[in-house]
Amino acid sequence: MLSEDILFLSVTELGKRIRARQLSPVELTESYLDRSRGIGPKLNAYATLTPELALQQAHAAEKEIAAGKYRGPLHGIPYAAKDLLAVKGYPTGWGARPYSDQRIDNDATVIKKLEAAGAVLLGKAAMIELAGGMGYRFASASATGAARNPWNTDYWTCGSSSGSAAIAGAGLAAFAIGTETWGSIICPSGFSGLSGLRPTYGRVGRSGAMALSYTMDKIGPITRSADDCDLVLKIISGHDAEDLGSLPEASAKYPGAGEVNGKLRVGWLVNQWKEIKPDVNGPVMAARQVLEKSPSITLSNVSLPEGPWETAAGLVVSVEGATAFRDLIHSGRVAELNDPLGKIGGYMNEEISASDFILAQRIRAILQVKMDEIFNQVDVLATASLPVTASKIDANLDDALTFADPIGGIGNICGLPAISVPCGFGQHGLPVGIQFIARALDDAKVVQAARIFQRQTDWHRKHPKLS
Amino acid sequence: MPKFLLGRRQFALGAAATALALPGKALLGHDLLAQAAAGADQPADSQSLDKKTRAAMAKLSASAQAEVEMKVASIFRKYGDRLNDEQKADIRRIMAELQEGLEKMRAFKLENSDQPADAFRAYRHEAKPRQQKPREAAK
Repeated sequence: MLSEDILFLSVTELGKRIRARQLSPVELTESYLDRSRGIGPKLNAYATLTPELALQQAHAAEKEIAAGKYRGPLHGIPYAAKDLLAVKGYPTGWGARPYSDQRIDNDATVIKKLEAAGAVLLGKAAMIELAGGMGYRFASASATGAARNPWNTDYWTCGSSSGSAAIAGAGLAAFAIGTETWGSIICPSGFSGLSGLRPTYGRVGRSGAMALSYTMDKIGPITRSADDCDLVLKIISGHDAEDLGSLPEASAKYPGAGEVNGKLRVGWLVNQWKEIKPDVNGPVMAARQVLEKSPSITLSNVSLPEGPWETAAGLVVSVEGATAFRDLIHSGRVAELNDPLGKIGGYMNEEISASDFILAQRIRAILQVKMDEIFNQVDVLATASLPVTASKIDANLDDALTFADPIGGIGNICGLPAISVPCGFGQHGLPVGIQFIARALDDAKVVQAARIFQRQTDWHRKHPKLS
Repeated sequence: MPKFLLGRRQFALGAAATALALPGKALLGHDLLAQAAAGADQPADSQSLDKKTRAAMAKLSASAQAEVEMKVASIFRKYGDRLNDEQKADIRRIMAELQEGLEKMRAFKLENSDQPADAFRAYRHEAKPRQQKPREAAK
């Protein structure tokens, strides 16, 4: 089996070695599978392993590369996909007991794109039930149990892409695919010391993905570097004719982030978090200094507009979720969900009026313009990914995560791209992250900002000790 | 109200529920909510939830309180037989706590011309250009 040092390498580096035939995709796949079987259950990281498919894809990749048919930087690279992405021949359980036997006879668009790029699917990542669509109060809101943080297993990875973060963080795969409706890529990446990218809404096709919020769901990579996010997004982006929210190909296809010409204008958010815990604030302020000293960046302070943005965002998710899971709610099978809030959330969401929903959508349009104006002054916004480190595995999240998150609501209701990258450690050896947010379609700028930061720091190269 | 991950964990932001009158009960003020508190045999959790519910309701106007009452009644009418007392108390608390945010959102100043973000667009199927047959192409 390959050593940990190799299994924690970036996708970029693994790809170089595979291309040069210094690294065998089969050996790499077998090593990740072995590690996933050993460590995966301790973290509740996977919903399902797909070893037959993985080895078949790995052997095919090895054969093609040996024959000189190199498909690109993901050829022969093993990954995991959140269990809300359909994979033909395997269960797609959406993290929820009522759907644990569900099989969908088609691959999701993202799975097809990764397969075409030669990537190797190791398994389906565990997740919060229905991506939190009925609400949840505990990390155990998952058919496969609470996902444990690789840095300290007494703590959670955050949801809803909880398994994706556990897998990428523990070096069980080279990268993972997650999704975000509100917080589900940025929070797990922040809590788990990973680089996770939430793309602009509509960039990544969602056919074959479970729908929670038709106008807010996004699919993105959770990796161990900003460069890896860039690489994976290039592959998975593009128009999806079966997804009504998909952008036209010319906008959807992500060209990748080049080098910064001149200086990147970074706006430091001064009114995002009401309070940041001291063990988080130290690393975040140190990260701010790194940005300030960078010759490629000009840093200024920026304030978010005041308004009922979070309520509007929550209302949109609530209504869309209630209609997406209407049958489940009406059947009463929400009672089979693990979480006490999940069992009742759908009933409450159904009470939201059409008038309030449209009101939220009108406010949403105004906010889109306000945010776009901010991005006339700066290229990206920056702030702590979260004001706290990971919550305890058994914490009541109503108590542990009580803070307001305006940029989370704003970024998601406006469909703006964001990336979270690690910037240090807080108490209990838990990671701290910094996030960058950009104007719609400026995904490259969040990658550029994160890349500048990662060229001057090595937090993203650190990995947990696991056995 | 827990705000972070609101869209993930706590969705109920209801409003303007259909009016529902329970026989012999005026659903104004704290009447319906008070019914939950009436039982002396309630578990401690329910009592704690009720205390929070009362605190949240006290912040609301009479019309907002009535709206919460109506929404709660609507949920119980449709799904009450599936819910235990603790779940009912939880629903009351959440609906009461979220009403304040909803009222603030409704107070946001909008003009008649402010359109919603997901505007309707007319649809027309665009047929693909007819492929030339080889013989036509040769002409």
